[in-house]
Amino acid sequence: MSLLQISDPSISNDDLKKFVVGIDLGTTNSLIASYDNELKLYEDNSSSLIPSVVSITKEDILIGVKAADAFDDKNTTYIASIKRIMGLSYSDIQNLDSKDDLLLIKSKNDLPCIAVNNKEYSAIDISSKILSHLKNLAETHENKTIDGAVITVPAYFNDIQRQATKNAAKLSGINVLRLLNEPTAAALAYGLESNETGSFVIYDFGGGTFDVSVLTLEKGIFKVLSTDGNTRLGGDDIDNAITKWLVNNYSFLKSYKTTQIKKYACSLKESMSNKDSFSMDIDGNTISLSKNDFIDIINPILSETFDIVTNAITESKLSSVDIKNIILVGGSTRIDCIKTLLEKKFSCGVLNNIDPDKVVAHGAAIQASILSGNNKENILLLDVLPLSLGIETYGGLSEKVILRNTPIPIKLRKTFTTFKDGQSKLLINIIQGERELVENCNSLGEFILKNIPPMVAGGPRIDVDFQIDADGILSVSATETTTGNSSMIEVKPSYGLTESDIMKMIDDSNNSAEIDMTLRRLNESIVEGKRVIYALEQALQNDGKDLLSEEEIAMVNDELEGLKLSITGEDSSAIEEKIKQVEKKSEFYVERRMNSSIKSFIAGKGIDDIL
Amino acid sequence: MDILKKNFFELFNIEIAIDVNRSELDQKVKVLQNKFHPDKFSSGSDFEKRLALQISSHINDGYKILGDIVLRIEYILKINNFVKDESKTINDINFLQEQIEYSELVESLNDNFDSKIIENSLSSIKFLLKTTVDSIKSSFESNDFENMWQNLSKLRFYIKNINELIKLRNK
Repeated sequence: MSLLQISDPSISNDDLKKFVVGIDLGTTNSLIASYDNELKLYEDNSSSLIPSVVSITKEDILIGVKAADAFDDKNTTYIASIKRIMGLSYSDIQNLDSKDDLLLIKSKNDLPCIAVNNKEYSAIDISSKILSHLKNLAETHENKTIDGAVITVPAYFNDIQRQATKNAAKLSGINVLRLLNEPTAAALAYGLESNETGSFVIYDFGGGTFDVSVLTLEKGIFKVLSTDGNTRLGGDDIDNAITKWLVNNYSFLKSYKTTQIKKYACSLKESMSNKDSFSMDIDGNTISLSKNDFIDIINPILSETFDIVTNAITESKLSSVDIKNIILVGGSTRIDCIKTLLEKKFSCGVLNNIDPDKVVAHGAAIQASILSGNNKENILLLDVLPLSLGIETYGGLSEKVILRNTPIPIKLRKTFTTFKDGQSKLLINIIQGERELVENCNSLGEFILKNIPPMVAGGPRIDVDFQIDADGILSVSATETTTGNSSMIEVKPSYGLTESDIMKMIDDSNNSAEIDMTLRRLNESIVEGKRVIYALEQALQNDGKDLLSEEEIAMVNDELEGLKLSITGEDSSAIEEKIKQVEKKSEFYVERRMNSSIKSFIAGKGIDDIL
Repeated sequence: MDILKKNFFELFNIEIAIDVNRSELDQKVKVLQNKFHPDKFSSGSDFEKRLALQISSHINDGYKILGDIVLRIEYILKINNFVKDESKTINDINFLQEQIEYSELVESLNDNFDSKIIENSLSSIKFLLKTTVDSIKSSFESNDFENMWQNLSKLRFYIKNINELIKLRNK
């Protein structure tokens, strides 16, 4: 059985091939890669692990390797591990261990910011600087502009953190094809390399976040069954624990800056693998750490990760005997006792044979090549919602409307009404998290429905649709069903930037690059036009005669001719307009193709014939 | 759009029944998503993307409902146009007596943990659950939706009881 190919024709024209990348935006290091039959990592000063660091001096802003080198420079503001505060409010970060390293101030609407040279930088600003740097590295190397990127996020990121990541990308001029969960990306790279099938656990222990996903792999379909994690648990916490231990055991360290001691702690940690003890010299003093002490220090952190693994397996409705392997991902899994302890606890194979630093970027690059149509393999990733979504009800309770680990995309409709005569507004507070009390969860923002037609209390019926897309991001729409009016929704974020703030930031950053934009836009519209023509011609060839009347075929062909003529011109707006028109006029055909495709499924074929 | 109007049993091409084959459902959701997931249309037009998002969400909704026994039975009642006033209560004296005894048991277990008692009551509630499902099946065969609804309410209680006991056991 042939698959429906409306948007994914086998384009042979090389100029239709897009330059797309996968980006692993990590807490400690970031990577950018492309995939065309093999992985290509882009380097910053011959290092593919690019420090997620920004250093700001009076004159300059340094990013990546250069920024990391400026660590000791007294005149720079050194900003690292910004991902830890991504999407958090100033109140959220008060109990964060590493908050002191970042010199955060409370900016407008409870947004944490770093103030340098009379300027305020939010986590979105800093992340967008890192992303721009990565983008430049890849574009300079290929001498091409990036058409789109898949950016990875921790699976346990909530809606606000995902949205913040997307906004940072937009701000750096990157077209986001998809946000991809880090463990899912790792599974994709691992699955394609190894050709394995079965159920797996991805144990992703990074610099600042810990994620677990349980998934099954079968015939190119990667289905996540459950995910769990902690977005504030990572190698950073291990460094902090060792730092505390060092200060308690070596009094001479009391005169050192915490950031400096943390560096020593980090090198101790990195030197511990395959050794029974390790010593180092600091300004004439010797510090040493034995393996047993090391395990004692990190044990509370590791136990927490093991509990999360157990929970994720329970949630997946599998038991640990069903798990074929646990796959280790993330730089922190370099600590060798993690493997032994996991093997003991879950009695299954634990694999650390893939490069834990690069596997996420690898998976993201593969997914980018699939989504752009460059890669024709039949691969699909099915993911889940990491945290339940709820609505605040009386008494500050969260009524869950979509439970965590529900496969996404998913849509849920809830009907609301008014409780006062003539009430014209309705306020809905949307909550994400597992706890019962709203105050223990995250508020995603207040949605205010306006323009409700005046009626008696309980009269209006307002259908509110909560749509979660494949990126795990929520959008809300509402219709008053007795009058059929769609209500207006205004979103007030619980803290931080409003949508219009973001739009303004993006506009400001675009204005500076006006000149190249015209030419770029023309090229993009021509490529897009060619793609539309190709897709439609392929479709007509496949099933045009079966699904369309002669008049309809003639009409579609007319539209195609018009578009073909239009792309020979140089007016990008005219081309875009024409593309829209062709797409609009062929919408009925798209619908018919989808319907006919479901009919062939229902007609009943063996699963093996179809997958 | 025809696809969105299909009931979930039609969409998944399975027979309307109280029991579903879990692994068949798992396979079918993969096949359907492999055609309609938004990622399959990521370079398509906005219209295609929107449609794919709608259809893919609809498939996942169906997967959720067909995969859960309570939601599935509710859904079967719904597609048979059986609407019941939710405020109506169960008037089966035996069942009410059972539930009172159950809450007393949980209370005493909270004070006095006893894993043996937990295991015993777990297996007796599981048995009750199975009997209830069987009687829902036979009601469904004879189109007795009223009786299905009555038993569905009991089913919800039994499932809640079992989850509570398991939670208690693991504590």
